[in-house]
Amino acid sequence: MEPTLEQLSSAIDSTWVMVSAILVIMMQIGFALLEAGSTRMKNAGHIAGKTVLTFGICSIAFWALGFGLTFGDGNSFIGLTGFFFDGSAEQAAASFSGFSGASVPITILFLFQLAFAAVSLAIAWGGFAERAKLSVYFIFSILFTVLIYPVVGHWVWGGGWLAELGMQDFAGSTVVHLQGAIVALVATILLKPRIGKYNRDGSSNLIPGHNQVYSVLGVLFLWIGWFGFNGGSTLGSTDGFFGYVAMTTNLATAAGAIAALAISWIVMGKADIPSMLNGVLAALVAITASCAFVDPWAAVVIGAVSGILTFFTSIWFDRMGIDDPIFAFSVHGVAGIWGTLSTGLFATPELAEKVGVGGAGLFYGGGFTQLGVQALGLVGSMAYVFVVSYMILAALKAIIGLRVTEEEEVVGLDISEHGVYGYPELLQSERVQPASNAKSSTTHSLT
Amino acid sequence: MDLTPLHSLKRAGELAPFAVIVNLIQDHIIRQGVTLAVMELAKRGVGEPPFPFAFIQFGSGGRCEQALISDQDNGLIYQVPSDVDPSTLEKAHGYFHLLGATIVQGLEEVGYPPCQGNVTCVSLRWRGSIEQWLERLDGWAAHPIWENARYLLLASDARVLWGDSKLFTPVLERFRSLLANNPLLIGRLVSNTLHYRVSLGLFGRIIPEVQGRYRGAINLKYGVYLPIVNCVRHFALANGIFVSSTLERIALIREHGIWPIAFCDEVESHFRQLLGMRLVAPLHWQDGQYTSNSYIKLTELSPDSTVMTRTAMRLAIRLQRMTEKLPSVY
Repeated sequence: MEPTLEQLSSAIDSTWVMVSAILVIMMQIGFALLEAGSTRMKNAGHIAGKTVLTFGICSIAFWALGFGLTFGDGNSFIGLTGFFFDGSAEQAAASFSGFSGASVPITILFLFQLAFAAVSLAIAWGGFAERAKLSVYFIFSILFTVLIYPVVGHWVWGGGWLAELGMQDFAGSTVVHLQGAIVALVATILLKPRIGKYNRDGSSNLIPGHNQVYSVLGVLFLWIGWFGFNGGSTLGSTDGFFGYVAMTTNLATAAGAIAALAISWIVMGKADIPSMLNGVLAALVAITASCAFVDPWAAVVIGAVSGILTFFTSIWFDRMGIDDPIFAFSVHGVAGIWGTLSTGLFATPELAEKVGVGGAGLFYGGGFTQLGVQALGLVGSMAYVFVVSYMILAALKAIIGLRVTEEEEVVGLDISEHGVYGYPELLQSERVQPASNAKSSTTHSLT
Repeated sequence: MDLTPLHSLKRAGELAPFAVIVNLIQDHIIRQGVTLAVMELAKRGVGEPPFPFAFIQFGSGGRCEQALISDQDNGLIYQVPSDVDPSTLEKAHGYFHLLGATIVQGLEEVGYPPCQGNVTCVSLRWRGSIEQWLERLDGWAAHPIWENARYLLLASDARVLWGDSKLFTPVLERFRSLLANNPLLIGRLVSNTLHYRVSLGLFGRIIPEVQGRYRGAINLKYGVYLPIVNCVRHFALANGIFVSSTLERIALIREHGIWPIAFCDEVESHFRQLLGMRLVAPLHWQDGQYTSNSYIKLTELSPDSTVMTRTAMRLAIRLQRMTEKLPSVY
């Protein structure tokens, strides 16, 4: 039997969304490299390795509960159906009416949405870096995927109250990035600064990452992965709109890179690579909400502004005594806020109509309506995530403790949490030899 | 020493004369340190110096530009008679090693931390007979890799502080002939120092430190003072002028007509003011740290001192551009 046009169209859409899901999952490589490169050598194995662990935990938790809580049918606050998702058309029809018109199989949509939840979680880890216990990663991965992410996700994308108001967050500046960033902020406040970060007089010391090339590669992985993140959020390809979204995404990112490097050069007298990398990510985060709603020139402005904004806020937070090792809150939080607001300013009436969410922004005759919706969505989401993550992490802190001991932190999490260094040859002299190894090396000694 | 009176002098120009006095005091203390070290060895039964020797200052001490807090950059040179037997020579080398260690230890006790780059008379590289020094100099000039170029630059700032200054004269003469016979050498010396970035940004904005302990301060040492020192030194060396202090170098550059007189006056006046400003740096921090010697809080500067610093930075950039072209002219 010849395939129908509808089947062909569905196959093409499905392939694109599957490729996008893979691209977004690939962003985990980016986070692993970026985070490991931006921190010290003694923690590198732990930081990169925990990315794999938490993606695994997040996958299971999202399958069991998270997907249903986010996209299942329920009320305007939370989804209540579709738990332990079995991938069948029957369960899809019974539990996920929001996806009823989709031309893509729900299994692919599941993978795509899982990848988003995992990105949000990966962002949150930035605030935990170099001092959190491994057990915290286990427990918090589950709690984040079940109690935090699905709620705001449901509000905006799952037919919740913000969706009803017409909040424009195309691929998740608020849902994915700001959520992760708020958790990172709460974590970094509760964990307190790393040993050696601040002096007695309150001045801060720079703790440079151990491998700038890793950080650069990480950012490039993220940049490429973002074409799946934003472009895939069209949930189809047959109308070619994903190309437009990819174009605005790239323009904003390029502007963010240039603006951040330029501002660091002007302010510090040196073209600072980490600042440029932060600018790239900030621009990607900001354009995530607005990529489908704005003109190309506006994408350039949004990207450039976020690159500059992030540069100053990262310095400001550092001065405020908030030790955010990967600048998660400046990059994903501040830029997430700016990105979410930007669509309230720059959204064109044509594009808003095409996407079918909200209306025109302030600069396109939409008045303050859309901007107001965006601001309300921001306040609601930030308040929820802040309060709930604070309660969870404060409880964890009281019950099991969030932070490793001083000795463990000083010796590094590679050795204290995993028993082996990420760079064993380089740090050999500090390596703790297990008794059995020491014995066998004596046995085989030629002397 | 009570430094409070200095703090009340906000204008950079008013501070300049104090720089000379501070350096004289430093010279006196260090000279005393060497004398005490010699006496200490005699007291311990090690004996008197076997040969005539001289104690050399490098770095800012060599240039008569020591600030209030200063580290040690020093060396020893001694004259070995031609008929000396090997065992006596061996013993003499041992004596000067011990003397070097005693001097460095003593100076450290009175507040001069040893140089982080290991330029002290404990190090074999900075201690030896005249012949050893000449050999060393030849070796550095024959292979002017980055490190050796740095050693040559350090040696060019040498000044004898204790002992017979004639002992170091053969070394300076050798240096002069090496430079004269190897036109490429000056290029190596220039490229060794041009990486210093003057802290001046777009539209003449002074760029302070953005983060860290010295946030809001400028690095006076690396951001303006050393770039000028280096450029003046390069022009002096390229023209066969072998004096160690920057001000003397400028005077001779003027005398030889290498730069126009008005330009020499401009460089000299700014440099004097910078020397004065270096004195107040530690008062901005009050922590006794050697690194704090380099940083000046912008908020503590009077408006005219800020203007002066900016002009000095512009001058440093201009000098760096002139210096870049120096190897091709030389």
